[in-house]
Amino acid sequence: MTRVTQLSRQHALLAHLRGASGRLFDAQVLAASGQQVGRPSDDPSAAGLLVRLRAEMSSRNAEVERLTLADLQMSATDAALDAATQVLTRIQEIAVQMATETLPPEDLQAAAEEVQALHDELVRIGNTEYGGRYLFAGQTYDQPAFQAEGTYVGSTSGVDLHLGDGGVVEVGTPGDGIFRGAGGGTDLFATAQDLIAALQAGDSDGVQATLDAVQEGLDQVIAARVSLGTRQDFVQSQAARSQDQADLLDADVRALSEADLTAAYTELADAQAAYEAVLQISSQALSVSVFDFLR
Amino acid sequence: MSLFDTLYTARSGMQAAQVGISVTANNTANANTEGYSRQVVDLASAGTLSTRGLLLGQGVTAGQVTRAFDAFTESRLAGERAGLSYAATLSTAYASLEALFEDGSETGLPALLSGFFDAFASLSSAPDDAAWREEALAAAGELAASFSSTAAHLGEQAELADASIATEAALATDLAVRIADLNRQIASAEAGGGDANDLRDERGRLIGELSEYVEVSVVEEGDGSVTLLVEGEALVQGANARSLVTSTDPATGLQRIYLQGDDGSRTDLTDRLRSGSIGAAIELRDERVPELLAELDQLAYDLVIAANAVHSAGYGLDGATGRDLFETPTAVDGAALGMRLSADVEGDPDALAAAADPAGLPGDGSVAAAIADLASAALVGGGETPVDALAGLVARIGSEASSAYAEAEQRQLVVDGLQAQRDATSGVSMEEEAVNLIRFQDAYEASARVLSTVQEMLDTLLQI
Repeated sequence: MTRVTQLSRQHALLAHLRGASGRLFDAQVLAASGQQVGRPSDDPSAAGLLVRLRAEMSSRNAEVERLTLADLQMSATDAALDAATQVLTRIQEIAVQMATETLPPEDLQAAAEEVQALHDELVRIGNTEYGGRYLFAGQTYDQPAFQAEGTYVGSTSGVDLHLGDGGVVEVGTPGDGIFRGAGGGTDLFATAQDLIAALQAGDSDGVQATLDAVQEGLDQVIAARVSLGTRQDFVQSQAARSQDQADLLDADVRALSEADLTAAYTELADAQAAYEAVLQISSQALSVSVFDFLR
Repeated sequence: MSLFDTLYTARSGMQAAQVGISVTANNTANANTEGYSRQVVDLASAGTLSTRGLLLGQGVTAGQVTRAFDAFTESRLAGERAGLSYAATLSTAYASLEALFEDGSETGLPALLSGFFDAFASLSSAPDDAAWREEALAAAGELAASFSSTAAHLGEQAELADASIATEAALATDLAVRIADLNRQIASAEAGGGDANDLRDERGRLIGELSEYVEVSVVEEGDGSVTLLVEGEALVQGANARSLVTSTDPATGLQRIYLQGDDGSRTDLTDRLRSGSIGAAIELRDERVPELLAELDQLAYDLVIAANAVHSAGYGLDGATGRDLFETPTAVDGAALGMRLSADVEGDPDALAAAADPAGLPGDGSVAAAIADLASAALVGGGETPVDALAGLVARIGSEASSAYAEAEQRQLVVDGLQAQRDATSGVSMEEEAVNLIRFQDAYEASARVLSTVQEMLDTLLQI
């Protein structure tokens, strides 16, 4: 039989106290922080995984932010192109009316002045600013895209949004293609100038001759809107996808790192009770002595 | 056989009971003394005297006072103490190291690393935006500062370990000197036929203390002295102790530890000593921390080189090119500690190169995007992305810390178990001592009674 000595009692009680108070401390930290993996040693592989997941989540969230801003910019571009469509439609109405009817010179002059105003409006639309950016100036969006008479002074390179997976989507299309027909399209400004010249000269054949070009210009702007819309759809769905991924990652991170609070509080109560029991037993055990019972 | 002989016999009983009481008193007094071994008095009959053909006993003698002691448990306990203190030293260091990598910390290296890439991704979508530029520059600066402070903190742990080696070597030497002195006292006490129980207990306690600094093998010699060996080299032999001394290695600036004799001869133990708290400190300083630092340095170096290669090919908002983002490190070693923004971009957000082509200013963000894309480039150590490399480092620190804690806990259990064995063998039981007290008191009273009886008989005789 093992002898029980003073020191056996003391050391054993001390070890139990140490164990119970260590367990209580761990339970307190777990319940207070709500974190299952606080320090890397709590679960080394989960800690490594958490670093990856959090980095991925943060990059997704940043991507959502960029995509949302791009979406707003594209909406503004769409609104500008819508305005351009309306201007062109009005030019078309004037051109059709002037080509089919015979009107006095003062009406022609008035029509020419309206087309000039519409031309200037079109240039203003080409120089639409959103959030400090000239939307149709390409990469040099800190400067206007067009000079007053319609010369394109922007960059020929579009503004790209870089996605996290290395993909690229164009959010800022240079205006020289849309408004000036660069690369084989219709020059809206030149067409307007032609119409003005024909109107001023009272040349109804000349006015007639611009009708096709006006229609082509209208088609060109509509095509740009369609292309923009397609890209905007992509940006929106990409934003939604990234947001979904960020949410999933967030759920994963929570599942890995957060403590099950019910279990944590149960363990805390258990550990508290165990600690109190050990304290109680210690104080009782150490106060009993054989000498209390002798004589 | 005379009445006087019986008087002497009774006296021997009283004397033996007195010795018994005194041993019991000593045991009771030392019931709570760590390292004390319960003492037992060996009583023996005092032999016989032949008187008129009768063999009559001469009473009792209190022979030796021995101590209840198990040499095997004692030496295992010392060895396990060395293991416990080794594991405890590592645990303390890891607790401090891993605090740098707490999950979810906003200011930890992992958060700042992904923050750096995210900031450049954001910059790529608005390269002329002053706020984004400020943010990207701040993110790069914070990343560099975090690499540097993490490396500094790791280095600090190595320095603390280095400093503790010298302090603890001095304390261990002091213990060795005291043990050698006790060796001398024990040998001379026992040579005269005496008991050196308390001296032996004291020596055992000091050996236990010494074991916390460095593991020693204990060889008991014939004269009662012990020889203590550290890594096979004698630290204490008889009344002589050698010293554990440290001196700074001019090549590394770190302490080396030697076993030095009186004649000044030295044995270098630095690369051999891996036990006790001194061994743990050397291991931390020479192996554990440098390995973690090397991983951190490699990550910092590869990241800086890759980021600079992309950045220096790009153009700042001012149209200038060829500028590094970070200061280029001269070597992998120390890259993390020395990481900082290059002087070209520091304090000048417009100097950040976001554009690949000066004609694309300010809307071209492809270089900023390329820096952000380094997050998923296998650039570290030739095959890992920066985030993966950092995740690996965190997992490594975590698993090393966790096994250090587990080892400390397990060794504590082993020490507790051996301590319980020692307590059972050598500890003082109050119940036993209470019984002994009654036993010796009764024996004393009985012998006294014999004495008074003999005295009455003598009185009777004298009255005849």
